[in-house]
Amino acid sequence: MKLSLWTSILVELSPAEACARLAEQGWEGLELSTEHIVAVDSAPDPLAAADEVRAVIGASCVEMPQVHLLISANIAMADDAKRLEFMETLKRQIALSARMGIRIGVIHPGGVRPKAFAEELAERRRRVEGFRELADYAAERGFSLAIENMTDGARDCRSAMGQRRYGATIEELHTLIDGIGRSNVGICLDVGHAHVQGYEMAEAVRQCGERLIATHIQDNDGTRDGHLAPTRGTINWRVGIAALREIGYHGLFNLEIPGERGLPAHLTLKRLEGVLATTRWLLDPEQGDA
Amino acid sequence: MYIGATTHIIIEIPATEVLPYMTEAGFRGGELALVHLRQFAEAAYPERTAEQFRVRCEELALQIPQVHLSVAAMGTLDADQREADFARMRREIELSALAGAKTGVLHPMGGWPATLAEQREIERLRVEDFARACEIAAEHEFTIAIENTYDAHADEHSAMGRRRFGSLIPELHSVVDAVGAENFGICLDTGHTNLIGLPLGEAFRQCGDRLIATHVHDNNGHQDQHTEPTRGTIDWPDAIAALREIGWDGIFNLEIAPLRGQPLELQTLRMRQVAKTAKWLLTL
Repeated sequence: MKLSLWTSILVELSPAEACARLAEQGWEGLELSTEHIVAVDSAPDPLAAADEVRAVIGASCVEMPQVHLLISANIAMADDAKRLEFMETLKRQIALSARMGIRIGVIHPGGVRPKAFAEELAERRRRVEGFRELADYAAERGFSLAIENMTDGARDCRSAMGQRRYGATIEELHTLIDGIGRSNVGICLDVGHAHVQGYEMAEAVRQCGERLIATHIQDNDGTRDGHLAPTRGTINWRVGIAALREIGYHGLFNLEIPGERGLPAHLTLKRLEGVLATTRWLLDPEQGDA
Repeated sequence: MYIGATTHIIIEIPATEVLPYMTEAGFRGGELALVHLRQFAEAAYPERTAEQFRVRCEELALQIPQVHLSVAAMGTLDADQREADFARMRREIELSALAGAKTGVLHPMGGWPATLAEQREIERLRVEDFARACEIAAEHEFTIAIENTYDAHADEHSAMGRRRFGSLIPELHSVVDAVGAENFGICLDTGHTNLIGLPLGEAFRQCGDRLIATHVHDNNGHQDQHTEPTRGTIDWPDAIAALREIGWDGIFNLEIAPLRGQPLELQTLRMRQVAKTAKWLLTL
């Protein structure tokens, strides 16, 4: 497993600059954040912006195999025009990511809160069709999709499915992936989401099994999606990391920790030195077994 | 549709003694409460006690179409617990039938599996156990109603996270489909739907013609308070419209918390007010 960080920790910097600074700090891997892929896509010359990022990564020791595709994209949306717009954006982002050497795109399952059960069933059909189309597009570029687990809503959410949100259980992700039926679709496990949802990290990892191809590593107190650095919440990391080894996961151990943001870049980098050291310790097999 | 109340609306006195107060308040029926059913089972002459209850209902023209059976470990991995629960359930169904009830309400249960494999086994056993409950019920021309529950709070953990099987109506349908018994349907608990965030009208519509029992109560959407309708956040006009839409002509049974320890006079006064409110709701 490679110790990795998502680039939005330095969201105020350009994609290339953020990658360069994090590579200098000693991170082994990076996930290009949604904000940064959006920045590349909306640059005056997106191809040149993508090439600049690729050059930075190529000149450093860091790997960047993973991108977080547009967070707000909803490929299960009922509005045909908006859904098509999302699909076009996602395809552009996949093409640009592939150009940067990225091989995996993290994506949310999408969906809204249906008023009637019939709407929910229609949404599930659109979700499968949308992912199938996107997976085929990605496959042509040697790219895979990693569908991320979500959390159910708060007590005041209302829908035909109550507070439940599709994709909050690993079982639902497997059902979705079975339905899509494409070999380049796997799971991105957000361990913080799983924790809020009431999963032990180790059990969530085991349920993902060999379909686990990406991770979002973050901690919280089990009640709110805090996105804090590991050990700042209540996740059992020792057992969770052991489970990752048990299932033979070799991808990024990728921190997605906006809960640690909010400082100027130079102070954020200071804070990250500690996060890097702590997480490296957690991933050290000898320390973990101690 | 007619209004009723679970007999524990006055919990300190025997069920047969609660009945005149229910009639006086304006209820036309009710559900035999678990606490009262247990009193039948523990009485010196259980069968006679149950029959006396039925006779009294007939005298007062009260219908008691449903009973709340004990919470049984449906789908438990503990075989001894299962057999003990089924022995008790059989006895409860016998006495309920003698008391005049036709439908027994059961919770889906299942516990908190640690692994997905356990969850799968619980799902299998749940279907097996409900099928067995339906077989026992059929011997007494009795039906079983599976009741919706609600997801746990954030601090509970399992292989399904904090989700609890049976919170959503499609999950109940899946059990009814799998069991395939004619004497099996759904009891919709209105307060539980509010806790899960499922609008009540939509919940009734999702039940459709499988609705065979009701637990009607209200809450603030955060705690299972079992307050009377209109004291919480449920959209009652839409719910009543949905009940009419699906053609429900059974009991609108209030399962509200009793005023424990309060003078009987106050409890009956409250019953009358609650009945008036419920009657008014049914005119919407």
